[in-house]
Amino acid sequence: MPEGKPSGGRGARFAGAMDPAAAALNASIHFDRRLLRDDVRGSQAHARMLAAAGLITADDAEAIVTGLSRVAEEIETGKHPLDAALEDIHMNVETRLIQMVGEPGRRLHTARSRNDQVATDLRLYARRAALELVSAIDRARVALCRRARQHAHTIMPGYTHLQRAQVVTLGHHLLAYAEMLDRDRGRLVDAERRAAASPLGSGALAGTSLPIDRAATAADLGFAGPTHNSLDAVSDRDFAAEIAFACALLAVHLSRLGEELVLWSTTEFGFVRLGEGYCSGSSLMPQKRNPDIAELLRGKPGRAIGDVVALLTISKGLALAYNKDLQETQEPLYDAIDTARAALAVLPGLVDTLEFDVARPPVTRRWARRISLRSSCAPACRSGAHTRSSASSCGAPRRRA
Amino acid sequence: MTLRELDAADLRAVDEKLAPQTLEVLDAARNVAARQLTGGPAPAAVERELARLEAELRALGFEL
Repeated sequence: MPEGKPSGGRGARFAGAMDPAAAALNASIHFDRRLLRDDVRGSQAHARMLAAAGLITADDAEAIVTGLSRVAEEIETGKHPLDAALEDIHMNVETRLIQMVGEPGRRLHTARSRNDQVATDLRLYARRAALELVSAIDRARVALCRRARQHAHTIMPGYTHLQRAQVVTLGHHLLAYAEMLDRDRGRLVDAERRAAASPLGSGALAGTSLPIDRAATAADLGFAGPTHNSLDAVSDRDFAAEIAFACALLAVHLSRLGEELVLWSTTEFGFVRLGEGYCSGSSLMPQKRNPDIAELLRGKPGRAIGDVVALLTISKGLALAYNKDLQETQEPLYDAIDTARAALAVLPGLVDTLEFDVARPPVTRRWARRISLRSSCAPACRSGAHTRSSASSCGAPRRRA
Repeated sequence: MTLRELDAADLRAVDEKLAPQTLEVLDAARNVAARQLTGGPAPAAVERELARLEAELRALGFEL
């Protein structure tokens, strides 16, 4: 390797550079750059712990912590370009830190491996993203709740088999989606809680003999505590799969709303008019008002489900402990999160701007009478006088009514 | 033409049990209002569910 050329994370074992095609396959900087903030945070906690444990001096720790903040700022503002030859965000940060603060920067990686470093960064990222999604879900629930409040008394057809079945209220229908989102929220909160164990200190696979304080770094980084098994800690991506699944199921729920909005906004249904900000037109067919956003809500789960499948397939059959395959778990996780985030971002505005056609006769009167008349129960039973589920109020057994 | 425009003879022609007063119970609003069980679609049930959800969201700091 030419002098002065970055060596990535290869260490001194190698004399030559990696084959360019192999280096391209190996590189992850194009996607793990989003771990910058978490990598810096993890390294700062590690440096503080090393100083407290007497493994580096307080001055070294101060130089590292301050230097890392400057590195993050330089990278975020584009002042310091990332170098693909350094493989990943971790080596980019560390290399720039060493350039900036010199010898103390070389002591940062004491008692640490990239394996526990990456696992820690990824958990920090995943936890942060999960909580951001929870907030986005809550904003969507607020929007649904407001519209449901406006339409608590608005009558509409309820469907089974996409055939008109019984009378319901629009508020009730909208709250069905709030219920789905509540479960999605619970899954993300639960996944975040389970991800709150710190792998830092697990080393490459078997820890270190140096007197580090794993509880201290865990507390510093807001984890509930350190993980309990080093082999599992560096190779576990359950948290990524769980969050990706929560995102996929969330996307599936939003796709059901998307589909209903597509249907309801057709001339044939005419239940709702979508806000202009959520439609597209056609230059060829100027009468068109296409429900693109609702269609995308319907389509997005396809990729999120694919992300879950990718994550599980990559993790399947991996011998303990760390394997490079695990690098491939990052992009599906990011994609699932991004997909859910993008879908949730449009939901409050989309829901707020829905114009329900509550005055349309087929919605509120004619159809309602038709389905009342055609219900399986005798007319007298539709007075609300039912007191038992087994028989109608006219005395006829339910199965014969 | 709606059901309410039918006279007694027309209604009987559909079903002998149908009479003008039967239409009173065919009212859609009355129909849905009768299903006010917990988790049901009646306005009263929706109001209860909304109260629960709004309280939860307010506790999270949202204004409704």
